[in-house]
Amino acid sequence: MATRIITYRDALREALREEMRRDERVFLMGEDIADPFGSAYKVTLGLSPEFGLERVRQTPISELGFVGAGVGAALTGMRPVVELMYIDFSTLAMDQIVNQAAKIRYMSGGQAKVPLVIRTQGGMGRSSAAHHAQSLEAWFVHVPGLLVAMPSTPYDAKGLLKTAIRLDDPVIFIEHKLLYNTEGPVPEEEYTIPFGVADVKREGTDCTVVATSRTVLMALKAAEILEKEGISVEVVDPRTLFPLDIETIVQSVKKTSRLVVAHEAPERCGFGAEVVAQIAEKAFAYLDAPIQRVCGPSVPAPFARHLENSIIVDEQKIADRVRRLVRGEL
Amino acid sequence: MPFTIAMPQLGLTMEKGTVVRWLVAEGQPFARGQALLEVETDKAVVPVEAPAEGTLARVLVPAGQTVPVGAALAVAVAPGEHLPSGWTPPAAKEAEAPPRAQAEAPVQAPAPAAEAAQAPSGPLQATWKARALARQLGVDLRRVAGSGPGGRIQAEDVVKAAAPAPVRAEARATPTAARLAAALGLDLAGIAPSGADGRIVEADVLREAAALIRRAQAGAPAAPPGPAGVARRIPLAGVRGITSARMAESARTTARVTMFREVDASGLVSLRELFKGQGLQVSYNDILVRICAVALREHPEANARLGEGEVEVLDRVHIGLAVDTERGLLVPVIHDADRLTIPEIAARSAALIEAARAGRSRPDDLTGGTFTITNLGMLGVEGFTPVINLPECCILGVGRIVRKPVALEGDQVAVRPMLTLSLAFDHRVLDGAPAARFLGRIAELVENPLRLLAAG
Amino acid sequence: MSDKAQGAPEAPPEDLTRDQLLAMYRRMRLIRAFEDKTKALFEAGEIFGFYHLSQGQEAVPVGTCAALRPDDYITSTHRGHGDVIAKGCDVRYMFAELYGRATGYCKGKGGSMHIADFSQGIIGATGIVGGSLPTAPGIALSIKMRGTDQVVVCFFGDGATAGGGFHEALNLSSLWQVPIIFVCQNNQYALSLPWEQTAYKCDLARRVSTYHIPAECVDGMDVLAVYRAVKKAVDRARAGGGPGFVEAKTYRFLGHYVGDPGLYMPPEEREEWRKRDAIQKLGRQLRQWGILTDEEDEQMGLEIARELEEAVEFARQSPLTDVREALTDVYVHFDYLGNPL
Repeated sequence: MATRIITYRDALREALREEMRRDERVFLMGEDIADPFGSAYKVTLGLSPEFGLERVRQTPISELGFVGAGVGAALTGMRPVVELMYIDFSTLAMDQIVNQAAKIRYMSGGQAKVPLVIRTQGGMGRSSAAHHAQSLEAWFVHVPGLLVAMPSTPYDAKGLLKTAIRLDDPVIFIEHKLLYNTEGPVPEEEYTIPFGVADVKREGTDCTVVATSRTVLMALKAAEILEKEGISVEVVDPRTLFPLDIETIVQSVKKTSRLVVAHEAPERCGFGAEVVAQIAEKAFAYLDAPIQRVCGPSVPAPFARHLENSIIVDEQKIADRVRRLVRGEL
Repeated sequence: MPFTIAMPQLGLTMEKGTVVRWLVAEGQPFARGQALLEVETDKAVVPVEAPAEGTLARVLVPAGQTVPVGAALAVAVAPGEHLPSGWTPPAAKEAEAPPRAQAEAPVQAPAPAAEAAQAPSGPLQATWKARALARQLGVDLRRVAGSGPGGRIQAEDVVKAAAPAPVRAEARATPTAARLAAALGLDLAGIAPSGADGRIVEADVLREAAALIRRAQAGAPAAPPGPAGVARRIPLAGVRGITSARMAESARTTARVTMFREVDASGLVSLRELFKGQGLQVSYNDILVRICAVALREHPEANARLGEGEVEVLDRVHIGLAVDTERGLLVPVIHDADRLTIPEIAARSAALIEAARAGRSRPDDLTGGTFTITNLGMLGVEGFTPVINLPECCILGVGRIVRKPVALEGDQVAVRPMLTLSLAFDHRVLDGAPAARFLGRIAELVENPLRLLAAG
Repeated sequence: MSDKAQGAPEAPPEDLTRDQLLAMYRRMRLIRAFEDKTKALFEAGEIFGFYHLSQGQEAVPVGTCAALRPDDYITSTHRGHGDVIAKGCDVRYMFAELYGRATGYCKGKGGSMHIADFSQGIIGATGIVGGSLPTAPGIALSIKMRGTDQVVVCFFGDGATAGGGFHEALNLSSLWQVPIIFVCQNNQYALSLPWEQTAYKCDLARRVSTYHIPAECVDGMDVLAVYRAVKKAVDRARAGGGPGFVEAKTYRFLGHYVGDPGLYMPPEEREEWRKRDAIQKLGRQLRQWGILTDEEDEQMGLEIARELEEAVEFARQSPLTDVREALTDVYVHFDYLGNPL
């Protein structure tokens, strides 16, 4: 199987292009997504020339309106992929996401389906400050009726986005602004990645680190650092936060007896807490040390670069905690 | 009613004693007067006897620990009784009185057992994995020393505490896993099972092996390859020194030949039972001493030594018994063993062995032997080639009695208790045929001990 | 009351057949009776939950849906019983829904505020005020992209016009020129807040027309006026002429929800609007046009009463939805825990 090295951004674009070619009902909506601007992070650049402005439909700044339109279109035969430029703006569309998209199937007793994908991105690292740097995945994972994906690599991004578009359930697809330029191998042949399957990004025996989105890369770097110290770290990337492949994490903890959960979002009631709770229930007898969370502090994102960097979960913070855990200091 | 075994006052100036080793295990019954454990004071190693018959319910002070006089060493119960559930060990001061059965909050750090651990007060600190392993391996968490922060008990602490742990019914392994563990030299008790029904599977064993290797590789700072250094030095002094010198000389000078003979020990066993039935504690060694004494009388050439350019056949039979003591190998001698009855031999040997172990042997006790018996049967050995105890010319090695299938007359097969006799002799003094005949007489008497009655 | 009491007799309208007129009349009476029955059942403790009844407003949904085809869509609101019955919902399955039965439109999982029948284009009522306003333009967009000549009617109340979603929906609909007809059931109150306090000196039709959406204000107590205004907008939209807006001035005779005495509604005002009851008005008109006699009217009343009795009985006899269904229908592809189906 031939692979090439492409960026996370390119991988997403390929997924959109392939799915739009495959199914006429797939169309895009969002702010500034047509050429020449091609969306804030250039993911949709190049698509409007091929598919036209009806299917690459630019919207005014009406998150509530165009996400709602996405819901309506999905309910009546179309397969929209709506882009929220920043996950911070999802707040404006919350009623349509949480009260409408997530619940219509249930409330209608199964009559409706909502094949809507909301693509968005979050994360710190660009000094974008508090309104443009959040990680809000926990909100969406908590809502029954939504599916949530957070790819960390180009390979995962493409495979998961294709699946998201093909599913008949509403998906919140959360990218990371600092991942768009990262590169990785992506097969030339078509492939999809199922939801609900975690990926062991690195095998190890002394400690399991579960991480999401960009923090996966931090965890892998931490594992490299620790390997030189003789500590073997297993990095598990859930890829989809719901459905969550807890079984893979359980098996990993069984092997290592230690768990660290890491994410950029604030620690309090973050997604990590869900993993911790499930592991405490399901892997009780395998844990030989208290479960650790290495997450952002529960503060908004500061503007100044050095302040922002101080609260991003990086490889040093992860390595430090794993080290202390494995040494039996915790 | 539970009763306590306490550290006895063995001497006027004794303030504390060290438990050397337990002779009875938890759950085992014992008789009144039976030695339960050995304790060491400044001067000697002494057995502690049971004040009454009972069953040892809980050992409170393991071997190697030192406690004050009067401290509770163990708790026993009367025959047929059990410790009440929720029973907790008494505090040190109450050691004299039998502890009250109580239903208090059972989980608290017990004082006597916490000697080695930094027992934290309050609820027991142990990780979830440690608790799961403790349940599986049958380890009482209250008796485990925790190596984690604040004395928290980690999984490896439980595994250590469990050794030597018999694999309990729950901690069973698949046959492949068990074979693999045995081949790799891994203790199944230390392996966490991943099998659905709590069984250890092959993957678990492999994982454990891999983890051990990794830890070993990662653990020590990389030391350069080299010869082994000295971990401990034992001076060649005292008994060790003497033994060393004498063994060397014997090996160097004697022309040693060992011949083996497997005998049916049924008669020996029956005879011992007979004595027991009479209330006489007689060991196999005691009977063998008598047998050898008779045989030596009949084969005086085996009761000889090498003199200056001549063989000296000796006129009295003094039989030495090899005894393993703290100080090393001692051989107290039963003088004129041929003139003593078996009960007399038993009494004499008991006294001599006790004295030897206590370090109280008199010099006369340890010299003048003309023949030696060395018994490694209780350690599982069947046959061996003992070093001749110069200036003697023969030594009889006795192995363990093991039930084996044997062919009887008419090709019938029966299971019998078989015993291997190993007679090593100095060919300078004694030839093979006479040695064999001597051994043959011993064998005959072992198999037909009642013939002792007809002997002189 | 004599046939000639209300002024000069008119000729029956030409744009509607006798059957259509009778159907509208019957439908309004059915809605009224259904709402009355629902109130009675709630007060008798037979059904539970929140009920927002629409006695007095019947002409608006009935007039609107008379202008629609079965394959057209509507979105509705928490006060939507009249909307969905006007579109074609069967009162048996509606009562079954209120009784939480397996035979209910939503298997008892939606309830009064969320009744939906996708087979009839009823894309769900919503309990959020203005909740369907952002959604409906998407339905219209879907129609346009699929290239059919369906239309979608978005029902909402005066209260919803204060929400941002109202504006966004109008803006997007006119930008996209999609076949949506906004029908505002202005019943003068948003819960307890009078219309004048929701919007400042607001002529809704005029406000909406600034979006370049043709907007009309009609007497919501006159079913034919409603019908005609909506039909105009529907025909235009169906022909590709883009969105339309109709504000129907109407009134709810009861409080906001069952249990609300409506103390904020002045008695004189209530009395005034009651006199303009749309059902009585059409009834008089039908008599004037010789389409309906007193006996037929009375007969119709009895039939409706029996239909409702049977519907309630159907609901009472229906099995309760299996408790396990509380956990189903969350996703198409997974169960509520995330296991693939």
